Amino acid sequence: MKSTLSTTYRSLNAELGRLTSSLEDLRNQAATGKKLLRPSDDPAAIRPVLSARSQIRANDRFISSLSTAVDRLDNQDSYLDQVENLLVSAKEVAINGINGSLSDQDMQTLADQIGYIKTEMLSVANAQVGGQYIFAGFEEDTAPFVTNGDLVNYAGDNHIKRLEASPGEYIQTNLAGSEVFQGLRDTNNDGVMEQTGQDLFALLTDLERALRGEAGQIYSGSTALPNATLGYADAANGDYTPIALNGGDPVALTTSDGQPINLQPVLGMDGQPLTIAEYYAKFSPDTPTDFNGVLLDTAVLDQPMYLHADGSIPAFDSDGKPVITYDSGGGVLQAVSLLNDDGSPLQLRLVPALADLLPELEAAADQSRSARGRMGNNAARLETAKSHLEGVQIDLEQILSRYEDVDMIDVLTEILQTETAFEGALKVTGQVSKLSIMDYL
Amino acid sequence: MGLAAALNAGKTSLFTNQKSIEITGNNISNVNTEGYSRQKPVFSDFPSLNFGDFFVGQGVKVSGVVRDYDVFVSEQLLDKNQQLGNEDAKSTPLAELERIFSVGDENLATEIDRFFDAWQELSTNPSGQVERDIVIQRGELLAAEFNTIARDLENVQNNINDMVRSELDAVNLKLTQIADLNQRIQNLESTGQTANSFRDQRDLLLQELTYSLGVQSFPDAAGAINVQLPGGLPLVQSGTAHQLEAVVQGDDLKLELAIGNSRFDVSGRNLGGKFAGLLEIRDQFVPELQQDLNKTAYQLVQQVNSRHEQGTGLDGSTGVPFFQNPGNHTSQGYASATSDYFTGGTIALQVGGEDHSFTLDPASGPYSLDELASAINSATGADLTATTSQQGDGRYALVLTPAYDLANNSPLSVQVDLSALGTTGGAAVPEFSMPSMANLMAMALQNPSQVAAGSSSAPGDNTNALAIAALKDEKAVNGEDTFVSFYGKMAARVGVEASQNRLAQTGSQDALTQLQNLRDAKVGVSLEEEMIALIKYQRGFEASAKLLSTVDEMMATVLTIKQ
Repeated sequence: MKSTLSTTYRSLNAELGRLTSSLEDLRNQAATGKKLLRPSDDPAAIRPVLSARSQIRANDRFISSLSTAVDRLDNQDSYLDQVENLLVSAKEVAINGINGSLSDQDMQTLADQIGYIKTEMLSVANAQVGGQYIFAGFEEDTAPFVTNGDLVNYAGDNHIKRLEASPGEYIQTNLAGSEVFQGLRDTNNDGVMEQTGQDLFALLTDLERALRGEAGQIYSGSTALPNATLGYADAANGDYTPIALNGGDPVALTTSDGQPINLQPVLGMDGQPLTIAEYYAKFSPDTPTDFNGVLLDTAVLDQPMYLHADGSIPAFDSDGKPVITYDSGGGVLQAVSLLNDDGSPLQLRLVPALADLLPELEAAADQSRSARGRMGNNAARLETAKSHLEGVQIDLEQILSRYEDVDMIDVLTEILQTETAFEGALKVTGQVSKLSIMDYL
Repeated sequence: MGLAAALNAGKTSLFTNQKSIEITGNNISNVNTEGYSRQKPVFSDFPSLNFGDFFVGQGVKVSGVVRDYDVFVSEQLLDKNQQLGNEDAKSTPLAELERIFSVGDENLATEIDRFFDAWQELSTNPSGQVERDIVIQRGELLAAEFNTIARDLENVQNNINDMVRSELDAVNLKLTQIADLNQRIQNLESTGQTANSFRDQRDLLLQELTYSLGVQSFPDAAGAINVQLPGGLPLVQSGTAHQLEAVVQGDDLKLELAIGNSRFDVSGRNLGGKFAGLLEIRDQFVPELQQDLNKTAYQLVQQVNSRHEQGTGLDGSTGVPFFQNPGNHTSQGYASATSDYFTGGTIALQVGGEDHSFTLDPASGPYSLDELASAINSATGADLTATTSQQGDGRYALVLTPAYDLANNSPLSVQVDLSALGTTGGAAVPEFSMPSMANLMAMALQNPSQVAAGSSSAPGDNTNALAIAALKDEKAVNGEDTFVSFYGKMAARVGVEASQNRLAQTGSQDALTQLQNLRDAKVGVSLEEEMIALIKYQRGFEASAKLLSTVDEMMATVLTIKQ
C-alpha cells in the first residue's frame, strides 16, 4: 500500500469539508437557538412540535375567550345584583303597604314606587354591554323585553351562549332573559320551555295593582277588568272578536280549574313557537280535534300552539285557533276566539291579595339569587380553567422547547470541539507539503 | 563475444533506462491528472546468444509500457459513483422540498391553525364585523398558502426537468466520446500496442456516466466497452453511440433513446445514478406529496363548506359555500369501467344541499363503475354528472362533476359516502378527492354578512362558528389525522427522505473517497515512488554509461597493444 499525495489531500479535503459543514450547522443552531430548522433535522419531532404549537395557539385563544367570558359574567353579575336589590325594595314597599293603615293617597304613592321599580327592572333586563343586549339570548341586537301595556313580552330567544373554554369543553356565559325575568326554563330538556319560576314583571304589575286596591280583579294589558266575564263583539252578526266585557252572552273568563285565561305560546329552544303538529308529535300522541270533536286538517296543524299558564291545552276551533267554549243553549257549543285583534293571545291575570304577594316576591328574589349563584359558580370555574390552561401552556412550551430548542451549552461546547478539530486538520494540511522527498535528494 | 557486443549491451541498457526515466517523468507530470493510472516499463532481456558453449545475454529492452490496473477497485468505483450520483441528485430538490414543507413558525399548519382560530375568535363575538372580516381574510390566506405549496411543488418538478435537459448534452457528448475512444483503442491495440491513456480517459468517462446515468458496461474481446442503461437499452455499442433525447409533452418531459430510426421510452426504471434520483423525486416523491396536499385541501374544503352551508349568515343566507366547492370529485382508479366491483346498496347523496338517493338492488348486482355512474346520474339529474374516465395511469376513475352555481360563485357542493355500497373481489369503495384541489383552492364567500357563524341569523348565535372551529381537532383526513397532523406527516416524510438522503450521500461520498484512495494506493502516482524510481533508473543509466566507458577504455587498451 502506498499513500500518494492526492490520497492525503483528498482525505484532508473531505475531512475539512465535513468539519466546515458541521460547524455551519452548529453555528446556525447557536444563532437561531433552534435545533429543528428543517424537517430532516428530526422527522420524528415534527408531529409533536406541530401539535404543541397548534395547542399553544388554541390555548391562547381559549385563555382570551375565558377572559371575555369572565368579563361577561362579571357584567351579568352586577346586573343580577341590581335585580335582587330592586326586588328587596319592592318587598319593603309591599310590607309597608300591608302594615300601615295608610291613606288611599299613600297607597297610590307606594304603587307609583313599584311602577318606578318596574321601569328600572325593565331597563336592567334590557341592559347592554358593548352594544349587545346581555339578556336576549342570541338576539343580542334586539331589546329583549318589550312592554305591551302592563304586560312585558320577551322578544329574545332562549339560547344559551357558550364559549369553548378548553378543547371540547363549552362554558355557559349568559342566562336567557326569559329564565331570569320570566322563570321560563327547559327543565326536562324536551326543547320546550316550562314555567318554572316567577315572571318578575307580572309580579311587579300584580303588586302595583294590588297596592292600588285592585286585588281580586282580572286584567289584560293595561286594562283592569272589573269582573270575571268575557264577551264577544257582535255574536248575532257572527263577529266573535273577543271583547273584554259587554255584548253577547257572557263567558267564564277562567279555565276549568278557576285560573284566569293566560295563553302562552309554546316556545322551542330556538325561541320560535311550536306548531300544533309539532307539539302533538312531541307530547301528546292523540290527534288534535276542534271543540266539536272534528279532526284538525293538515293545513290547520301549522298554526302556533298555545297553552294555558297551568299547562292545560285550550280548545281549538276548526282553524286551529285557541277558543273558549260555552253552551249557547240546547247543548250547542259556541266558541269565542282567545286571540286579540292583532292575533296575539289573550293574556289575563288575576291580581292577588297584597299579603299573598310577599312570598312570591321572596321566591322571585331567590330565583335571581340562584341564577346569580349559578353564574358565580361558572365564573369561578372559568377562573380555575384559566389558571389551569396557563399551567398547561407552560408545560406545552416546555415540550415544544425540548423538541426544537438547542441546549446552548451543548452547542457551544460542540462548536469549540469542532473548531479544535478543524484547526488540527488545517495544521496537518499545512504540514503535509513541508515533508517532501525532494528535501532529501 | 566481443567488446562490440558488450558495447551493444551497454547501449540497450542506456536506452532502456532513458526510456524508463521518460516514463517516470510522464508519471510525475500526471501526478494530478484525474483518472491517470501509473505506467511502468516492462523490461526484458534480448535473447542470449551462444558463444562457444556459453549463452551470453545481449542487453535489455523495454518490451512494453503497462498501466497499473485493478478491476475490483474500478468496478467498485463505478458502483459507488452510481449511488453517489443518485443521492447527489436528490439532495437539491429535497432541500427545496424541505423549504416548502417547512417546520419553522410559518407553514401550512400555522395557516390552518390560524384559520380555525379565526372561527374560534368569531365565536366570542359572532356579530362582529371585524371578526367576520378576519375569518374571510384567514380563509383567503389559507387558500393562498395551499396554492403556493402546490405551485412550489410544480416548480420542483420543472426545475428537475430543466436539470435533466441541461445535463443531457453533456451525457450525449460523453457517450460519443466513449464510442470514439472505443474505436481508437481498437485501432491502436490491434497493432499490438497498449492504449493506456485512452483507457484511462475511457474509465474516467465511464465513471462520470455511471454517476449521471448509472450505466452498466461490458468489455468485449476487441478492447471496446459496451455501455447500456440499467434497464438493458444499449447506449454505446463498440464504436457507435446512441443519443438520449428530451421530448416535451405539455408540462412533462420525457426521455427517449434514439436507436437508428426507432425511439425507446426511457423511464425512471431504466435509469440509474443522477437521472434516476431526479426522476424518482419528480415522478414518485413529489406526486405523492401533491396527492396528499390535494387530499388535505379537498377534505378541508368539503368539511368547512359542509358545516358552513348548514349554518346561517347574519343576513339569513344559508347554504352558502365558504370556499369554492371542488369542481370535480375523482375517485381512486379501477382497472376497468365495466367489470363488476360493487354488490349494491342504498346510497344517499347531497348535491347543493338537496338530498338524492338511489338504490342498486343487491339481488341484481354486482355492478360496474359505469353502472354506478349511470345510477348516480339518474338520481341527481342536471345537478351532478357522473362519468367514468380513464386517468393518466390507464386506470378508470369515477368522476362526479357538479353544476356551477353562479349565485355563489362556486360549483355546487357534493356530499357523498359510498361506503354502504358493498364491494366484491377486494375492490375498494370509491373515495373522492380532486386532483388539483390545492392549486385551485379559492374563497367563494366575499360578503362578511354571509359568514355563517350561527345556526340562525340571530346575531349572538355562535353555534356554527364553534362547530367549524371544532373541525380543527377532527380526524378529517383518512379518518385518522387532523389537518395539522396530516401536514406533520407530509413534512415528516420529506424530513425522513432528506435525512436518509443526507446520510446516504455522506456515506457514498466517504465510500467513494476511500475507494479513490484505494485506487491511488494501487494505481496512483506516488511522488516518492517515482523519485526512487528516478534514482534507480538514473543509477542504471550511470552504470550503463560507466559500462560503456569501461568498454571504451578496454577497447583503447586493446588498441594500444599494437604500436
